[in-house]
Amino acid sequence: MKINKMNGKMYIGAILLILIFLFVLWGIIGTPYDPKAMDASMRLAKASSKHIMGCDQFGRDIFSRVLIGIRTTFTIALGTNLIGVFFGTLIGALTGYYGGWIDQILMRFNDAILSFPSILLALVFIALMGCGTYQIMIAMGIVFVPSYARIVRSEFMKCRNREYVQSVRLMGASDLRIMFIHIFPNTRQTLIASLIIGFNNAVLCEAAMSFLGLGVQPPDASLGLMLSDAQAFLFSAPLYALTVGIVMVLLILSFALLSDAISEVYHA
Amino acid sequence: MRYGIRKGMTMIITILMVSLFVFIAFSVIPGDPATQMLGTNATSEKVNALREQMGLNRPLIIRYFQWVHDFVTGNMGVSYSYHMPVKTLLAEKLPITLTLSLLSFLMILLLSVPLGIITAKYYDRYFAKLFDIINQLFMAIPPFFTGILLTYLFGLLLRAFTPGGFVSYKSNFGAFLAYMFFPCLSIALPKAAMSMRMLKTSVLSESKLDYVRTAYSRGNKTDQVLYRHVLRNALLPVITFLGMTLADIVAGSIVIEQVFSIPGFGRLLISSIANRDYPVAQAIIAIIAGIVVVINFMVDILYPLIDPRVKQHENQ
Repeated sequence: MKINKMNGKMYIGAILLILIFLFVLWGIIGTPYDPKAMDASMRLAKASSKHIMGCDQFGRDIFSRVLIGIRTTFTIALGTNLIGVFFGTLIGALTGYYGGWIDQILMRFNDAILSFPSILLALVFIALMGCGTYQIMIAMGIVFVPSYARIVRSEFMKCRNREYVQSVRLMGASDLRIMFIHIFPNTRQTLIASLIIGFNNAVLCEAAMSFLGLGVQPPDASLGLMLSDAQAFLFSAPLYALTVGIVMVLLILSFALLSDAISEVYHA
Repeated sequence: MRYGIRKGMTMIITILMVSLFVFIAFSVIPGDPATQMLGTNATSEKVNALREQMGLNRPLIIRYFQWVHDFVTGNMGVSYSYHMPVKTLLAEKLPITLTLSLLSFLMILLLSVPLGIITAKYYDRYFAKLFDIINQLFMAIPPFFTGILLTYLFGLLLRAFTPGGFVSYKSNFGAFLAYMFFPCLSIALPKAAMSMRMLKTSVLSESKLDYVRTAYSRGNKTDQVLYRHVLRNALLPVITFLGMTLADIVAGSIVIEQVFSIPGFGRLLISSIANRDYPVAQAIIAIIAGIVVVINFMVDILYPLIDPRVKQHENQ
């Protein structure tokens, strides 16, 4: 991928993402106020120089909670995709490389799982494991495995009979070595593009699950949970929902723009 | 015909696999359904008797086939929370969720198809470029945030509807449909933006192909080429997307029902998961998954009607 092929979408997406990443770092280093500290006198306080996004229904600083919320959402999206990529790659590599009846059975099962809308499948696992930050990460991670498996499988199927693979096979390389040292690096282009889309979907799914009250639990903060809280005060404090929602949109937009730009560059 | 039978078989296998998955998932949940129904103070004799009556002591695979049989014949068990048959509970909610999904789908079609064609036809004009930017923005807004924005703007500021004032279809069908407008719009806007962009891209890439040049060289006008030749081919990927969208809408309605306080499948599913009312959750998930599989089958069947090459390719 050459720099001169980068387009406007890539720049805007990257700038937005860097900005959000700085907010994540800010949330890790320390927030302006304690995000869990309540103050009854500041209940639903409007934006001011002290509290730039105002305060929530418990008088907690919204900006500090947004910083923590982005961090939580980011961590969950990262964890989800790591689980999905790890197990998806493992399944995809084995089925794509060896083929045969194991491939047929696993892929039929994979297709059945893929026919489930992701939010519905995540709900099944939440019903199994209960609500919470780690539970949602694992639930969504499992949901993401089939799509990564399918992507990696098709890449492995394309590569398994290529000349370079046949050459290393003749040189006596083991199957594991061929799979993970020789073929796997060649899937990176497709995998990176899928990871960005996966990250986007994870952010959306986490926000939806927390919005439904089945993801991150109070007093922890996540963008979806905050938006759900803010909805109850839409009339008295509309800026609460608006600011949290806009941050969420910017996060999703940054990934969407990046994924669009990358696919345009690859298809150019 | 062979194509249809093969797709039908695939659908049946997928439904069996999906139902097996749903059944196993809810069977391995910790906690005994008999104890949950009778309460923790029940004697072990009573619990055992109920376990026997419910068939919980039988092997898992036998219980699965029994469950499938019961499910198909309409016996979906009894809700732990409402103490009434799940079937009765769901029968009231199904029309609400179906209306929400179908109206949203209709809105997506009405918004995306004309706009997709217009923006593709006039792709180099400023308004088409402006639409691209608006589109990108709409795609990034999650439906539940769109719902909140619409509630604030049209519900609280303009008072076009009463937030939370759901009217049952049984009491006033007109008012029910009117209340459904904004929830449907929340679901439709991001999906319409995606499908519009897809149609535009598809029309533009088809327009570059040789057969289009041939059609122009034979003296056809732009509209004739667009509607008779290009659109037919350009619609294929869009139909795939719309099929997936319809499946997504059914699942996406779960969140929107929560935003607009609509007492449909979604709200019931969330409350049943939160209250560990598993017969209800299991039934709803199985029904939604079944609907999704059937939609996917219908999209597969629709393909060769639009593009006979699909059937040829599959038969080879």
